[in-house]
Amino acid sequence: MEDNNHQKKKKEKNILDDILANAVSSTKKHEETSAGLETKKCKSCGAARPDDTDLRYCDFCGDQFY
Amino acid sequence: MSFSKTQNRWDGFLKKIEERFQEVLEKTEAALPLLFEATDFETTTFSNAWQGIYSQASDLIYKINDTWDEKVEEAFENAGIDFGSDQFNQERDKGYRIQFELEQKLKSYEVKIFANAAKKLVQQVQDILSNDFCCSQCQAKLPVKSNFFRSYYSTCEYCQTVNTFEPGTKARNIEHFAIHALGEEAALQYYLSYEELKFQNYLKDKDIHKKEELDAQYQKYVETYLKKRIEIIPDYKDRYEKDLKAKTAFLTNY
Repeated sequence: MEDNNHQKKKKEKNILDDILANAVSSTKKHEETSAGLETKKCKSCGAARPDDTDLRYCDFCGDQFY
Repeated sequence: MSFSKTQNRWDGFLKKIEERFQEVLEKTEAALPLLFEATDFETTTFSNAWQGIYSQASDLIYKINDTWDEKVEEAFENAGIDFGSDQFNQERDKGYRIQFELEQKLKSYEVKIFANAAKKLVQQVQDILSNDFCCSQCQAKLPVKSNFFRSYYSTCEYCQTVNTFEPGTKARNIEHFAIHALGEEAALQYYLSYEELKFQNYLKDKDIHKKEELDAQYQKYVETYLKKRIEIIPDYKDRYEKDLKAKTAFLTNY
């Protein structure tokens, strides 16, 4: 009887462990992005984008940003 | 088998289900937060693990109804209890009640476990966002919003360069994971009351609580849920009416 209870407890523990292990192993991991700042720079002259300008043309050399 | 023996077996079965259910959720309550921390607050793994546990707990709950249908109903009839008699209904309702109580408990557990995880995530993100962030051109310190979790432009007041601030995956998960969990936590009491009223109607098989009473309770749940979200992300205020309408649409449309 005691053995049965022990077996049952072991099985129950395994179910929870299995669920957690399965969640860890089967979830697709994506690369995590960190918090930070970046500036779009003109590929032609390397100038950063000043305030009140758009992302189409560089304010310094007039080249296209993208 | 006599009525009292059948009744004892039925009561014993229900007690065992309750105990087993409690045991599963207590273990979960201890294990899931550890998993969340071990995976560095990775919300998808956490949600997948909960889904597995939820499924186990639901299986236990629905075993009550299945067992009644497959064995217990017949056993009571064999013990001389007429189908549909008061005694018969009393025993059947005992199962319904426990099933409903466990469903309510499962919902409460779910909300509590997710809300606790969400609070940890919010704390982590607050720590991250309270760090110094500097302009990528002149290194001057740039102020960062503490209650906006998407990327946005931030202009350096010294060199006028437009910087793009990326809050990072953890902060983005505030919007995808934490606000729902915290909204649900704030509104849980109204959700449970709404379900309780629905269950009473079901048990008595008539509308002892009118539709208006049920709708009002659901409305309170949605309002509290949405207001909590606004508390965390004030920008949601602009879409409050739209969200309220969408989340209560099934009350008015069906």
